Amino acid sequence: MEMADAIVKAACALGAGLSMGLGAIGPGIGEGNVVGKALEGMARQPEMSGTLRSTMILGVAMCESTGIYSLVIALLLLFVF
Amino acid sequence: MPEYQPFVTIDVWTMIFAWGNLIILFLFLKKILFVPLKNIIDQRQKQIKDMYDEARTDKDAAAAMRVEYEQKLADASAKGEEIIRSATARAHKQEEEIIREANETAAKNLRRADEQIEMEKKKALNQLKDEVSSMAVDIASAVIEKNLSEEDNREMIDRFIGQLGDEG
Amino acid sequence: MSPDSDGTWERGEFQNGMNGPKILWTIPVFGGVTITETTLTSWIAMAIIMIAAWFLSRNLSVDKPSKRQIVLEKIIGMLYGMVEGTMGKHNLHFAPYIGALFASSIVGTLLGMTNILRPATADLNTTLAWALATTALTWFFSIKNSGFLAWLKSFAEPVAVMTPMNIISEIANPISMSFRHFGNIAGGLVMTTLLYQALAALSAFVLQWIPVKLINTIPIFQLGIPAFLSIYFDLFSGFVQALVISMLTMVYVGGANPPKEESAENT
Repeated sequence: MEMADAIVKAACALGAGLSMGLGAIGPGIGEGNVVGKALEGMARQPEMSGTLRSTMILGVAMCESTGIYSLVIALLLLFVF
Repeated sequence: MPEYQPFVTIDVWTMIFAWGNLIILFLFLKKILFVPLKNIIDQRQKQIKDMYDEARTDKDAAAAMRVEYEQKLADASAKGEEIIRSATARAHKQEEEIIREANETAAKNLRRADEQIEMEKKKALNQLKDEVSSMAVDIASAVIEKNLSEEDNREMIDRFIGQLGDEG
Repeated sequence: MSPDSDGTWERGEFQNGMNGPKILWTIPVFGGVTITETTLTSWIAMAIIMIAAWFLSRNLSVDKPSKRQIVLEKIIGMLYGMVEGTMGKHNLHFAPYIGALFASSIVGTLLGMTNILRPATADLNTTLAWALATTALTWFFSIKNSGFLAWLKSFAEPVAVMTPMNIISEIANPISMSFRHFGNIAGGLVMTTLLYQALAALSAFVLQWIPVKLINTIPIFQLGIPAFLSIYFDLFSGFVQALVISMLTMVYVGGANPPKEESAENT
């Protein structure tokens, strides 16, 4: 393998790791907030917990998508380049 | 060696197939599942509504009938009372009539019996008078020996008895 | 372990998942119609849904519903309730489309649990097609309800400076939708594959002291453990993502087709 190729590979691996690692911070905090607030709401109004839970899962899935984007970027870096 | 597509790529044919599948599935589901089911549910709702309407109509009719029957029942009981009252009244009247008639008949019978008794008495008196007169004639003829004509005797005795009877 | 010169990995090094879908046939018309594993899976999913729909909708009865029909009515009622709650009563005729989308998504994902087929949603093309269909519907109803010029003008609101931003957000919508769904399922696929590799390495390491060739290739760890991961990545994530893409479709299309007071016509 040539040197340039090797450097590209290394950069891709580094970039993938960074992308995934940094990209996981935001959704982690966001999902924590979402679940925490949902739990607060459920504790305050237990009769609403069904609606809150389903909305929470949807919201978590939405928040997660930013993390998923970084995952996709990481996979792209790893497998496509 | 099998060919692979890259992990992330845009392949127009896969997209076209995805669209086609989605549209076919949409049309199929609509035709096989949704439209028949919606028809069934609509039919059921219509049936239930019809049933409710029918039940309501029936209930109203039953209520009307009940009112009517209650009215009729009240009428009937009133009529029955009326009949009983009138029957009682008639019976009372009849009873009085019968009693009155019986009294009348009894009185008439009594009167007739009285009259008969009177008549019998008179008859008996007349008979007695006759017998007494003939007996007197016999006695007188025996007494006076001189036998007058029977006619004269009878006349004389009749007068005598007549006086007697008038006196008696 | 390195990819080939064309950037893909050979099967066997990494099992299915690390590559894109395998191209099964190329029909040499229109410059090569490619039929990939994704298309095959989506066909199978379509067949399964069709058979299930046909089976469930047999012998529907008005007054004496069977258990099957009660289940079906419950599901369809839930779907109608969701569509009505999100899009409004005038958009109820979208329910079959939403149902088809949801069913395609979830069955296409769950077929990946068989480990024979590649999930249809782990291919960007499938999800991008769905997302573009949503965008097309949104644009169609926007243009139909407000007219072409008014629709074009709506990009320049609230101020003309916002136009590029609006255009970007409009373009970003289908991309974000499709990448969200694709990334979840494909990420799960990659995770599961990686876990298989790791567990295979682990069991090979544990069993390496046994000299018999037959015994030390027994996959002791790969047998049960990936099932738990699969429950999260395929079952839960697949369900949630199907819900999300249907929900977003409902929200976008419903937003583009608000209730009209004067018009009774609803296409």
